Amino acid sequence: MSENTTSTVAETTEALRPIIQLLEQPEAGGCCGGGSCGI
Amino acid sequence: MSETIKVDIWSDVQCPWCYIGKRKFEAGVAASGTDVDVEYHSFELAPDTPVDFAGSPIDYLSERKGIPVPQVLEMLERVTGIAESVGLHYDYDAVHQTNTVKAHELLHYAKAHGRQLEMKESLLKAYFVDGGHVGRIDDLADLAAGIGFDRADVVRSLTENEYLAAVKADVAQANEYGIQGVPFFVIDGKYGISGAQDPDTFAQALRQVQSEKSGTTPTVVEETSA
Repeated sequence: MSENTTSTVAETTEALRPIIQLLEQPEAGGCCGGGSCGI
Repeated sequence: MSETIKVDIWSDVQCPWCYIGKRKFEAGVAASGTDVDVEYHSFELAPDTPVDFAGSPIDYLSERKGIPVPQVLEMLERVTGIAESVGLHYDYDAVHQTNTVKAHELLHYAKAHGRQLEMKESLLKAYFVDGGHVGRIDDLADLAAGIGFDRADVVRSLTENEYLAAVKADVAQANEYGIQGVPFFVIDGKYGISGAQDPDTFAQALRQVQSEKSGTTPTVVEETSA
C-alpha cells in the first residue's frame, strides 16, 4: 500500500492498443502488492 | 442519447485503495452524467499467501514484506481514515488476510451470470467491513448465496476451478498493459487512470471520452485554485 505516483501506462504491445494518459493525474492511493505497499 | 462508455477496472478484493477507489469512481460517474458499463478484472496482490494464513494484515505486512510494525500501523490508520471519508468503515482488527484467487474466480462466475458488480461490492464489504473470509470456498459460497446465487453451483464452480483460466487471463492482460498497481481504470479501452483518484478526475475523463464519442467539445469546468 502506498501513495502511487506513477504516471499512467503508455506502453504498447502488439496485441493491444496503447493506453494513453488522459489527464494529469494527481497523487492517489494504490496497492502494488510488494515492498512498501503489500496489502 | 449518450453512448455507453466501457470502463475496465483491475482490482483486488484485499486492496484497501480499490474499495475507496470504487466509491470515488462511482461518485465521478454520477457527477459526469455519463452512462458506463463497468467490468472488473482480476489482479492478485499477494498470490503466494496461503488461504488459511494465520495472521492479520499487520502480521502479513511486517513478517512477509518486512515493513516495521509501527509503519504498518500508520499505513492502516491512514487508509482507514480515508475510507471513513468516503463512508466505508474498515475494521482491520477483524480482517482475514488470505489468498484471493477463489474470490476472483467467483467474480468471473458472477460476471457470467450478469451480477459481477453486486458480487464485487459484497466481497469488498465482507473483507474490509464485516470481517468475512474471502479465501475459502465455503465462505465465498455463503456470500454468493447471500446475493441470490445457487450455493451448490458456486461450490461446484470454485471446486472445479471453472474460471481460474479467466482469472489468469486478466492477470496476464494487466501485465501486458504494464499495470503494476491497483485500482487501475481503463476507459473506453484506451485511457488509463491509476489509483483511487478523486471523483472529479474520473468525471473529467468520462466527459472527455463522451465528447470524443459524440464528436462534441467537452464542457470545461473551471477550477479555482487556493
